[in-house]
Amino acid sequence: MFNKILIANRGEIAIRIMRACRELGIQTVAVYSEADKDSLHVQFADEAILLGEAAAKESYLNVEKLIRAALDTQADAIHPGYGFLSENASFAAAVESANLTFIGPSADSIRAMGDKAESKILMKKAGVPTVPGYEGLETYDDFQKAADEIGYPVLVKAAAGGGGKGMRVVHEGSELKEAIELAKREALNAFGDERLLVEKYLADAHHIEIQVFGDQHGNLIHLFERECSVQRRHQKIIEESPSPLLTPEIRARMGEAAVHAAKTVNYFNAGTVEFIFDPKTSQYYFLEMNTRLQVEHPVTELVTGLDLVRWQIRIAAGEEFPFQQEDIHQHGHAIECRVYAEDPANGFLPSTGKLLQFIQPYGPGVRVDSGFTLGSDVTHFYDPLLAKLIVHAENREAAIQRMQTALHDFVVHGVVTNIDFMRAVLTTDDFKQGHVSTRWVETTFNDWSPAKPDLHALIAAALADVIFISGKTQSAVANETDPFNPWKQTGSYRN
Amino acid sequence: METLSSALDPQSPEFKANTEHNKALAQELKKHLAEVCEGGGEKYRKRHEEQGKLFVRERIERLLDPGAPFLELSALAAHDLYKGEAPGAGIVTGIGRVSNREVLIVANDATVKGGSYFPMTVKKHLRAQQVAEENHLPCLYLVDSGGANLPFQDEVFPDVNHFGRIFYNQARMSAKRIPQIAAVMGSCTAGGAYVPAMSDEAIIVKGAGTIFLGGPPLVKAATGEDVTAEELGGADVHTRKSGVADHFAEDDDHAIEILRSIVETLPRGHVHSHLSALEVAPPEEPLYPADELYGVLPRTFKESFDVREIIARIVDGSKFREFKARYGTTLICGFARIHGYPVGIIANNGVLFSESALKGTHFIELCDQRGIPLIFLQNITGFMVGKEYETGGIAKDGAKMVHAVATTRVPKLTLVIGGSFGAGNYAMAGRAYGSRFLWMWPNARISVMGGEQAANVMLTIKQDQLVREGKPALSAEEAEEFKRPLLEKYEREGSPYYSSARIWDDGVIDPADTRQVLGLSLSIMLNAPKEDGGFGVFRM
Amino acid sequence: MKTTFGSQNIEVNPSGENFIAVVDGKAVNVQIIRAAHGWMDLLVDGQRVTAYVSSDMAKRWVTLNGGTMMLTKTSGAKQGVRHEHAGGLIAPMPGQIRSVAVSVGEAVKKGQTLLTMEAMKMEIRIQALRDGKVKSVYVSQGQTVEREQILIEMED
Repeated sequence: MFNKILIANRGEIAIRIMRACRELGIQTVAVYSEADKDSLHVQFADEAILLGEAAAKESYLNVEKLIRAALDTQADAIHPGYGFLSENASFAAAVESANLTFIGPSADSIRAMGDKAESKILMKKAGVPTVPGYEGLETYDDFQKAADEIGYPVLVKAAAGGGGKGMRVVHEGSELKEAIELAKREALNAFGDERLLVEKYLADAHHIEIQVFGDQHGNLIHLFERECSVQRRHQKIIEESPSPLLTPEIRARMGEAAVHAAKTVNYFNAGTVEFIFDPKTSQYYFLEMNTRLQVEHPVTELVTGLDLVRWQIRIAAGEEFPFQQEDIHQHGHAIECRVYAEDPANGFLPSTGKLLQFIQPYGPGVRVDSGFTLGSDVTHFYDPLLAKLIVHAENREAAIQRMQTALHDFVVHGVVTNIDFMRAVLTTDDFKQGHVSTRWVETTFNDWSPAKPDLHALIAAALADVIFISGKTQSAVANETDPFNPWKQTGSYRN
Repeated sequence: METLSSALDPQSPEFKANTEHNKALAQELKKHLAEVCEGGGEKYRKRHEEQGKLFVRERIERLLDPGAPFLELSALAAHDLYKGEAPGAGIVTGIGRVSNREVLIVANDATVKGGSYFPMTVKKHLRAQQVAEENHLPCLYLVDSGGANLPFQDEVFPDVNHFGRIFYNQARMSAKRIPQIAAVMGSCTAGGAYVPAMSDEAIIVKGAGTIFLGGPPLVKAATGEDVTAEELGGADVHTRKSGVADHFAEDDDHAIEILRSIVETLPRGHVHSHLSALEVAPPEEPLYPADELYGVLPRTFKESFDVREIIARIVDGSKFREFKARYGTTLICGFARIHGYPVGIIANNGVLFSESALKGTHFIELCDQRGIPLIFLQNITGFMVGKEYETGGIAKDGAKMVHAVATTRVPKLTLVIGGSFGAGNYAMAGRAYGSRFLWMWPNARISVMGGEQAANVMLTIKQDQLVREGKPALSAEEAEEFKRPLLEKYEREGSPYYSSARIWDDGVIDPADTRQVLGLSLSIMLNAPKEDGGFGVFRM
Repeated sequence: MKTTFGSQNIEVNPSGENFIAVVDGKAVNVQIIRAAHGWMDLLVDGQRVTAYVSSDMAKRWVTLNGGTMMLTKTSGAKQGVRHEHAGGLIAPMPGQIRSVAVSVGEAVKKGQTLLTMEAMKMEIRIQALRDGKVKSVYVSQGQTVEREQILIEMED
C-alpha cells in the first residue's frame, strides 16, 4: 500500500480523495494555486504545495510542477481526481516514468478512449452499438452524402471534443454548410483540432452511463447505471441511480456492453461508459468512455455500498478486486444534485463572491461533498461547483422527497446558486415520471426566474440593518450614550 | 435622507487604470510604514531585547486592550530627514484603547539613537500632547530616552515649541484634569527626568529604568563620585528613598500591568458627555465598497471628479443630505453620518467662487449652532482669479469662510484627498486652522500654489524685470530652463511624505481605511467638552 | 428607518418592544423572538417567520422557506442636482471646450462622458446624469464658455 498520495486536484474531489486516504492510513499532499491558498482542501491535507498562479496552466494543469511536488514530498502515487489532467494520457505516462503510480487506468487506455472518433471506430469494430454516423469526412460532399444517408436531423461535432463545444444540430440540408464551418471553428479553438464527425441526432434522448471497475489482474465488472439526463449547457446537474427507464433485461445488456467496451482497451480502475438512450425504441448507443472517476460517482457508491475511491487506491496499489458481477446489487435509490454558484435566470452564468452563509443539510441518507465553507471565496478561476448534495432512500419517490427537504435546508448567501432552480425541477411531473431528456431543461425552463421578494423577505432584509449591522437593537441604543463607538470594535486596526 | 448613487462604472478602463495607479500609491505608503515599524533596525533591536526590554511597538501592543484599534500619529515623521537615521523620529505616538478608555500614548524608541530627541521628535511629542489636550485624552508616557540629541541642541532646547514645552504641557494638562502617567522603562536623563517627575503617577522598571538629572559620567566629572546608574537613579532608589517614582515594576510586562490598572481607576471625566445631544444612530456600511475609492481618484490633478463619488464611499449608507445643492456648486456641503456619528461635510468640487465661500460660511454656522462636528474633504486649487471676481469681492467672501473656519466652536477634521494649494488651504481648514486631526491620502499634494503656476509667476516677474532693464526677454528654451528647478522643487516639496516628515499633518492614510480613521477620530474628538465662544466680525 | 430595495419601499420603526413595518401603505407588527448569527425568528402580525439574512454592502441575501432571494438596496430618493439646469448640463466654471464626445440624437448611458472642458488648468468632464438621449449640443470644440452656460440638453 502507498505511504503518501499527492492529489492533483482541488475542491470537493480533493477532499473526497483525502478522506479515503486518511481511512486507509495514507498521508496526503494537497497542491494549490495562489487563488486557492485559503481553500478547504489545503487545510484538509497533511502537507500542501503551492504550484503557482491562479491560471490552471500555471498550476493544476502543469505536469512538470505536479510531478516535482510529488517527488519533493516523497509521495508514491498521484490521484488526478476528475477534470484537469485526469484524462491526459501523457500526464499518466509522465507520472509512471517518474516512478510514481498513477491512480487510474493505463496511459494506453486513456489514449484509446480519448479521441471520440477513434474510440467510436474501435467500439464499432468490437460490436458495441454506436450512433449511426460517419467519421473521417473531409470534403463538404462527403458530409452531405453522409448526412443524407443517416437522415436528418443530424449532429455535427468535434472529433476531439467533449463538453458540448464544437457541436451543432442540423435539421435540414440547407443548414449543413454553415453548421460545419461553425463547428470547425469552435473545435479548432477549443481542442486545436478541427476534425468533425456526423451522426444521427436523437432529439429526446436520455443520457445513461454505466460505471465499470476493474483491477490489474483481468477482473472487470460493472456497477450499474446512472441516469444523467438533467443537463444545462450540455453539462449534468442532476444524476440518479437506478434509471427510471431501464428494465432489468436492458440494464443487463447495457452492463455487458460496457464491460465489453472497457475490456477492448484492457481497462482497469474506475471508468464510465456513456450511452445515449432512445426511450421510444429502448435502443442504446455508445457515446464515449470517461477514463476517470466521475463527478457523480457518489450515486453509485450509495446504491452499491462500495467506496469507489478506496477501491481506486487499492487497485492502483495492485490489489485484486474481490467481487464478481453477481455480488453487486442495487439497493434503493440515490440522487445527486450539483449545487453550482451560477445564475439559472441569467443563462447559468457563474456567480462569484464570498460565502456569507453556508449551511449544509444533514440527516439520514443525506451526504454533502463540498470544498467550501463559510467565508470561502468563490472565484472565477475554476469550476463554480459549490457542493454535491446526494441522498439515498428506499425508492425513487422517497429519494425525491428527501432531496427536496435537503435542498430546502441548504442555505448559501454571497453567491447566486441553482438551489431554488433544482427545487423547481424536482417538483415537475416530467421529472417525477422520469420523462426528462437531455434537452428538457432548455426547452422547459427557459423563462424560469426566482421568486420575487415578498413582504416577509422585505421585512427580514430591512430588519437586518437594525439587528445585525448595528449589532444591537434600537432599545439597547437608548441605554448607552455611545453604543457604536468604533473604538469598541475588535480586529486590531492599525493605520 | 437622500442616498448618493454612483455614476461610475467600475468595469470601465478609466476606472481600472485609476485603481491600478492609486493602489500602487497605497502600496508605496504601506512600504514606508513597514520600514518605520522596524525601528532602528535589527541590530539595535537585538541589543535592546538582550537588555530584557521589549521593543517599543511590542510595549504598545501589550498595553492596548486585546483586539483594540491603535490610531498612530505622525508615523512618517522625519521621513528622509537626518540622513534617514531617525525612522519615525525615534518615537511612537498615537491613540489607543487601554482598560476600555481612549488614551494617548507617547513611547520612545530606544533603538533609534537611544531614543534621543531630534527636532522632529520634539515636534511629534508636542503634537501628540496637543491632541491629548484638545481631546481630553489621558497621556501615557513610555519613557526610554537619553534626552535631547546634543548635536541638534539649538533646534531642540530653547524655543517656545522646544523641549521645555513638553513639561509645560504636562503641568497645564494636569491642571485641566487630564491624567499624566509615566512608565520609565529605560533611561530618563537630564531634562527627560522631568517626564516622570511631572507626571501624576509614575512607574519605574527594575534594572532598566533610571531617572537622574546628571548621569554617572557627569557626576564623576562634577564631584569625582563613582556611582552606578542603578545606585544613582534606579527603581529601588526612586520608589523607596527619593519618591521620584511611585510604583516598582519587575519588568516591562509588570509596568504595563500597573499602567493598565491605573487607567482602569481613572474617573470618566468628560468622556462623550455631550453625546446625548448628538443622537448617535446605528452605523451602516456605505452602499459602495471602500476600495472603489482607488478607481474614483483620477491619475492627475488635471482631471476633475465629482467629490460626491468619494462621499458616497465614506458615509453611512451613502446617505447625504446636501445643503444648497444648486448654489455655489464648486463646494459641496451636507449632513451625513460616519460610524453613526452625525457630521457636516464640506468638500471641494472645483475652484472656489464667492458663492461657494458664502455657502461654506453659512454651512459652518449651521453646524456650529447645532454642535455637529465638521469634516473638510480638501481638494482645492484655490479661489477663482480674474478681474470680474476681484471686483466681485472674492477676497472678502473668502475671508468670511476663513473666519468661520477659524472661530467655529465645533471640532473639525481635515482630510486632504487631492490638491491643497493657496488660500484654499486656509478656507478648507488647513494645518494652521486647528483641526483636531489632519489626514492625507497618498495622492495628495500640498504647496502654496501648483508648481506650474509658481514657475509661470516667477517667469513673468523675471521677464518684466528683463524688459525694465532693457535686456532681451528669455527665449522659450531659456524660459523652460529657468522654470525647471522651481518645478522640481515644487514636485519634491509637494509630496505628502515631505509634509508628513515635517508633521504638517497627522499622517498619510490608505484611502480604503478612510471610514475607519474618520470614525476613530470622531470618537476621540468627543472626549472633549463643548467649547464656548462665538464668531467675531465678518467683513460683509 | 426607510429603506428601498429595487423599487420596493419599506419603513421599519421601533414601537415599544416591537417594530412596525410599513410596505405599500400597509402596516404590520413585527416581533423579534430571537435573532443571532444571521438568523432571525419573527412574528409578523402573529405569523411565525424564520429567515436567514446576510448583508454585503448594498446587497441583502434572504432565505425564507428554503428559497433564497437577493435584494439590492437602492437610493429611494432623488439625487442632488449636479451641473444641471432645467434639463440641460451647464458649465461649472468659465473655460474652453476641449472636446465634444456625443452628437444629437445619440443614446447615452448614465455616467458617460459627454464633453470635456478645460478651466483653471483643470480638465472637467461633463457626464450624463442618467440614461437618455442627446437633445441638443450647444457648443463645439475650442469654444469659450461662460459659467452656467448651457452646454448640452438631454431628454429621456
